[in-house]
Amino acid sequence: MEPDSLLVRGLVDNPSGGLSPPLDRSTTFEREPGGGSPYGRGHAPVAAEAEALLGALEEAEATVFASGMTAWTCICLSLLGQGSALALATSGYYSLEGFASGILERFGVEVRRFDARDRDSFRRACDGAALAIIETPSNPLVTLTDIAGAAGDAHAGGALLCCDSTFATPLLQRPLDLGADLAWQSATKYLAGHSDVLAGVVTTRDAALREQLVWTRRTIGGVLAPDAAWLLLRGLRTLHVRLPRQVATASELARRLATHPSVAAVHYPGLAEHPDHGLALRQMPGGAGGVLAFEVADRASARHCEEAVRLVRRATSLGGVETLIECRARVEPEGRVPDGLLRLSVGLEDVDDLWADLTQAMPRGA
Amino acid sequence: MEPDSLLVRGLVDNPSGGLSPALDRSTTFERAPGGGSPYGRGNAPVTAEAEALLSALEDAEATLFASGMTAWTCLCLTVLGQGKALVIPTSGYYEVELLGSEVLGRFGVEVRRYDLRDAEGFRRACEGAALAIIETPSNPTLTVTDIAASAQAAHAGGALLCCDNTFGTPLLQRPLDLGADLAWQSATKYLAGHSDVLAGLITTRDSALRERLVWVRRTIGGVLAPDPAWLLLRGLRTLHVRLPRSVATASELARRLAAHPAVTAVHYPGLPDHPEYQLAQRQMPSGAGGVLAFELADGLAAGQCEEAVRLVRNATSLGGVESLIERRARIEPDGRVPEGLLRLAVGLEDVDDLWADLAQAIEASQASAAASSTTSAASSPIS
Repeated sequence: MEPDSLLVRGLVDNPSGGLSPPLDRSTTFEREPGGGSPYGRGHAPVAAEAEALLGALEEAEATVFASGMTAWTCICLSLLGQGSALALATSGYYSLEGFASGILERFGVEVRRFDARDRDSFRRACDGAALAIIETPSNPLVTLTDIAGAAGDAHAGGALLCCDSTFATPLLQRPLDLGADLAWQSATKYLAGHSDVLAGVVTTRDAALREQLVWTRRTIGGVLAPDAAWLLLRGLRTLHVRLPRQVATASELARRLATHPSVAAVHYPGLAEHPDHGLALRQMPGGAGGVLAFEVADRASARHCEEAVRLVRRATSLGGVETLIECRARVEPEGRVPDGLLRLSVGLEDVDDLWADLTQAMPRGA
Repeated sequence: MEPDSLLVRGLVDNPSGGLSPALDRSTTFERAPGGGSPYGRGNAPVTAEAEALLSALEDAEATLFASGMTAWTCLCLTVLGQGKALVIPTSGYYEVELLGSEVLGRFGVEVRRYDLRDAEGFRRACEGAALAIIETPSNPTLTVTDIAASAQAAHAGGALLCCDNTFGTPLLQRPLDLGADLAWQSATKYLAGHSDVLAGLITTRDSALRERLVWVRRTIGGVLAPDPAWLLLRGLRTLHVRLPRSVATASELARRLAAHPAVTAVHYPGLPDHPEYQLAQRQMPSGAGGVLAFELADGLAAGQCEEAVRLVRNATSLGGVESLIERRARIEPDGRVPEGLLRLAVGLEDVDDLWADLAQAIEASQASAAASSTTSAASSPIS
């Protein structure tokens, strides 16, 4: 069955015969004679249904969590320890840096930071490490990393490789096929798709690793609540019509922005002139995603643009039905991103309406 | 305003004028000019509403989490680190032991254990420790610990004291008033009260500590989602009529069980012969809670009993509207609890209906025991 049909059909039938999944909020369940005592931190029927579907989508085992960062926390608590090393990019999703420096280092984890554009830097960081994380496409500069190459490098150093595939989703990229041990996504973004669910998902083909994740998740209570799991399932049913539409619009907007006089640079691997374009064609043949970034002259111009949009919404996050713009220098620690960088998460609005809104919001002059 | 009125009235008005709270599921919010970028991992509006109510209930700052264990995990990640020591009981909530031994230990945390009834052992364990946890009444043996004395002992050693107040709730016990730095509850239990919400709560009067806890919660994404927060708020509106009813029924059932010939022990702090009865009267003047434990002769009888109930449900958890029974040795291995111990979380059913059900289930367990002993007597050689 193709992904499109799988997403529509689902994998678990509602015992009532209904075509919409049941929503069971029970935190405790009647025990079968001689059986165990199911409890909400371990047994969650609706979340399990979402996991079955997400697992099938990647031909792997999926585990869902209360949020993307909860998933990452469980990965770290399962695989790291005092004296072990984690390889982390200097320019990835900045919450990972916060978690590493604010928590992991205090618990004796050696955090080795690598430059995502420098393969030698990555190899050195992976040497003797327990876990390495790459993010492709990256947030917010939308750079790509060669997953297969990274997997080879990580494994050579003895590290497991986790790939943050939030910007891509399994429809555009399957890291496990390329050698990654774990694929991680903030399901808050494209998968749930409606800016109304916090959730995280990790997929793996390593059954023992998955068991560890499930144990940690149960112990720290990082499960996905029933209502959120139900809404995630509902969102998944249209992923295959939402995402390609967003990719098409993002590609067109990237092209138009690239020739706009007020735009100093556009970051979108779908553009032929992008340094990672060749890799994008190989690694993400279905499209380079729905997020792009562009730079205007300076931070003041970026903030002006952010505040002048009317159809586009000025808010953080990405992957939902509405187009969102954000001046990233305002959100990330000093110096991590160019001052004039605007991240654009492209939604489902009409492309010309979006272009008209962006151009009227753009600062005057070159 | 009395707790009863506070719970009914709430603290946040729905802008629509509606008497039921708004349910906003947004994970992202329009940025006000010059403002920040609110994001769901920061907190949802309805969750903040529940925190406001719980804060008022304890005259403290309340922080909600995805589950009780998430709250505890966040606290550990906030105040511990490699080389720090954590003090936990040998027979408290089993998951605290698991997090300590299977996770925290691997990250360089020294886990020190004390016996619930050994105050001197507790004091020694707290010397130079970062964090100590007490649980009173305890799960599942219903041991009561002197919170004020524990706070002094912990602080003398340099440790923060966290008190698991799940069985008490702020209506029966306010650990912060007695010197605890943090009060922790699985809100899954009495607070939400309907066995349909997983949630955790920590209250404290230390603002700086709370800020750090909130930062960790945000970083690991341990927030309570909008739907369960809304349901928690809904459950809180009847806490003050549900809990006293459960307490009254539990007290009566404890008395009847104590007089039953097949019951070898009853653990309920409201019974005069409970080892900490006097302390419970002082520390929980409004009632000793809605959970009790009783023991049958052995594990076999207890196992038969839990499977023979019909009105009471054989399921784990506690604090909901339905009465639940569970043989704890089945859940907690390694001799932590007596083999014949059954934990009974008392719900809102009629007390005589519950007694009739328990009596027939105990009867059924005795009949099975008698049957198996008759069988073994017939097959053993005559000596």
